[in-house]
Amino acid sequence: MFHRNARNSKALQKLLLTNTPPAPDDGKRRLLIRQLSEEAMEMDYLGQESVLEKILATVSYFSPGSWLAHLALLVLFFACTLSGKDSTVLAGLISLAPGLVLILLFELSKTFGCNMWEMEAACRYNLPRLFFMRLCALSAVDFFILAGCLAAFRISGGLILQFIVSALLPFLLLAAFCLLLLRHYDRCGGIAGISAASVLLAVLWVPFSQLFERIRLLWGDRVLTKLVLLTALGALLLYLGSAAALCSGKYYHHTRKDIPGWNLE
Amino acid sequence: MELRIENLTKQYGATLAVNNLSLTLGCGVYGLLGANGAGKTTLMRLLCDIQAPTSGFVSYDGEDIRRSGDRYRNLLGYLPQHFGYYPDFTAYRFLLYMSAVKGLSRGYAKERSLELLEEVGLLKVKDKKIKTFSGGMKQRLGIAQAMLNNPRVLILDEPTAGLDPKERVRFRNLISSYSRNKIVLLSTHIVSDVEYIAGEILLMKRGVLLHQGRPHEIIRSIEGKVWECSVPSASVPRMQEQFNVGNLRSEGEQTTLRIISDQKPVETAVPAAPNLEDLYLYYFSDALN
Repeated sequence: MFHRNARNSKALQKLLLTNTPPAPDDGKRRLLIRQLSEEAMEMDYLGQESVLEKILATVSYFSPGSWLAHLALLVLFFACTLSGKDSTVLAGLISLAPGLVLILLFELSKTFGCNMWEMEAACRYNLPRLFFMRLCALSAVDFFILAGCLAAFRISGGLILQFIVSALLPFLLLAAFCLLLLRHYDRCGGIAGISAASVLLAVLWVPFSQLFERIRLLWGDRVLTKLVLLTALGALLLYLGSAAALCSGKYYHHTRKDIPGWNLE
Repeated sequence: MELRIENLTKQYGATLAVNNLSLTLGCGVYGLLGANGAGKTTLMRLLCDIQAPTSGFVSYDGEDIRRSGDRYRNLLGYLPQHFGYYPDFTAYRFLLYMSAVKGLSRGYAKERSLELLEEVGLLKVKDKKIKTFSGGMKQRLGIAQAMLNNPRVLILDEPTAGLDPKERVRFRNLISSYSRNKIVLLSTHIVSDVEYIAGEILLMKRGVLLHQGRPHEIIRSIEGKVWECSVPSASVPRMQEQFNVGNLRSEGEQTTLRIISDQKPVETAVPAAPNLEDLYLYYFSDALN
């Protein structure tokens, strides 16, 4: 084995000095320069952004209507809680979950609804990554809205448990349901169907949520608290699982769309 | 640079959209011809890794594109056959959005978007909403987005659909100037587009590659099968029923027909020099019927 010590280095230097290096092949040199400059160009135009920067970049392209709808929902809920009437507060509480889910569904499914999916799927950040970035941003906004609404609800004298049962739980369950279905029904008709189903489920949740009141009457507040927290945890896990399923699938279901006949211009 | 397709098959239920297709694409412009349902769009989606093949694979420079992931997509530009836009986008904002999805740096994206808007003749309307654009303008914008990342592999599905003749000439020149050291694959029904810019033509039918070669080589395969004859106008419907008739030219009582047939259709018929349109009709007449 050749060890590079001081003596060997001197011998190598001597050898290199006595031998003139061969002239580089001009063709190869030019090819190498071209390849290197092409690679340098590539490195220059591909941005090196962090995940947070990518998410923020995605947020800037959300439809202004989504932001307005979020804001409107928040303002309406504040108005409901400030009214002081129990029935109005309850109505605001019940409509919060389907409202947020419909906005989420609209923003996620517009890629299919506006027929952009094919173009986006062939890009560096393909559909699963786009869904991930959009979901991160939208979930953060949704939880911010829910936190704001909870604060307003508490100020008006409402109970945290009631908020969890009437707004947070249906939100998590409906969102999980929609995300799971979005992976399979990506056409406009399918998306309209999912929206309708989620509104229907939100309505059906209202009598179902009365069960929690019965549990409180039967077994007391401690059992109810534990049960609600456990259910909320389960719903959160379900939501995260559905989000992961949507973001991990590389290929999405889509039916063939052939146009009959052909032209020969 | 090489895009290799190896025994590629895509099946939808009982339908074989792409049937055991093998092909190697080097640098150059390739024209993909085929009637509707021939499997062109499916093949293009498979090449863009948008759909998973039932069997077989596509490799770029020896690496399976499904494994390469974003390394391959960084080199890819794609214009789908049917595409839309987010309704609130202007042309410039749309290109900036697509640049962001393609992972391009912001400075480069702004510069390149303006450059491409200029090239496709949309710079003056860059701040107008896309929903106000005509079909041709939308198509040009689609072509621009496909070229944003200066792709090495450019796949265009029906790029000239909706373009007027002047726009088509501009598109052809754009692709010709762009195609050096790149793989460009375009499918179209407009045979003349392929004739002018494609170095090689791929003829596809029912998921199978029928022919691959330079335009004049492929056209040569139907030499002696194209005929011209003049018949009384009243007998045209019967002739159309009986033969594969291309162009008709009415001249008073008589009509000149261009017939694609293995045998001489009528005594008075004379052989004619075939063109790409005749080739299309020769192979895809059953799809027309």
